[in-house]
Amino acid sequence: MGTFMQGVGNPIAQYLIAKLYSFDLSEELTSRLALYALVQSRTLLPYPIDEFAEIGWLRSSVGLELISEAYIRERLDLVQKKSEELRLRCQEFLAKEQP
Amino acid sequence: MTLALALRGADGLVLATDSRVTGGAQRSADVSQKFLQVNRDLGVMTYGLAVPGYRGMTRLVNEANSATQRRLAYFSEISQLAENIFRDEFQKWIGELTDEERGSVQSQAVGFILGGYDSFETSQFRVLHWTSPVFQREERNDVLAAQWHISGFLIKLLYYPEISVAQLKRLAVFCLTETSAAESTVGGPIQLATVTLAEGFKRIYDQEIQHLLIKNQNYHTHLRANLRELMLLSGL
Repeated sequence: MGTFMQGVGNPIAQYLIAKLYSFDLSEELTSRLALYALVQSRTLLPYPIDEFAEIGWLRSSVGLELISEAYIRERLDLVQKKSEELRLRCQEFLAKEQP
Repeated sequence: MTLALALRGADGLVLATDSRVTGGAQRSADVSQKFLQVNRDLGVMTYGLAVPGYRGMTRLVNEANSATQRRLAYFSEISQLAENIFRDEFQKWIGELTDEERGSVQSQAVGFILGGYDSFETSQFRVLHWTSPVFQREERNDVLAAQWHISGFLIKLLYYPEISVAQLKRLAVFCLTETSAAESTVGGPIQLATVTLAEGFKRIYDQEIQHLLIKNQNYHTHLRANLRELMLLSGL
């Protein structure tokens, strides 16, 4: 694992991956990062990006394993909650800092 | 490309761009002048194609402050003059190109932002935006233009409507620094100005920008630490 491809230019996903990705991330953490990049891209980019998210883990031992919808839905909900928490923390930090 | 920002705070506006110009014989140089002061309360910025952008801005400043004609004071007359000049300079520039070059000019290849305080007509801070080839005026709360994507993400995280101009300066510098670290077409010295009721258009010079860059190191660390903590390390 370690290559992120994109069909059209997506500077937001590139930025987040450059900031957060490292080769030693587990499948679970890489999936979270991918979903976070997906949610942010869908919110901000002026391209139509559909509402569905699919994740597959490719392992040499078992081949492609498609991850269940329930797993993805649960993580999407939580990623959105964490995004909101991040926003509040960042704004609080900015407001506390002296200009 | 460029990153051009016009951000609205509780007590005024912040205008900011980088200074990188790409393309041409030099390929990349950090020498581009991307905004100018029009009068006490107004500034103009450009992004995209450097030649029609710079010509449009300088002609607007010269004609709005003409020594031989009445100096323009009303926001509406300056913005109308700006629209005519931007369109005219773009058409002139297009006319100088070969057919092949003309075919490669993209839509929205050059844009202009006029931001400032309208002291005579509405008593409001205003931001207007035009892009080629139509130059249809668009009034906005904020403009994030050209390589805006990373700033869009950061502003969604960090901006709040009550933010002061003093904090907004730091946010603008933060957006430019984060973008220039990721996008090779954005970079070089930051050009920054504020527009407030008390001081009108005020250019922020290198020493203060350097100070903001140093103070912002906390922001960069905080953002990275929180992104990692919340998105990767905390239990979902």
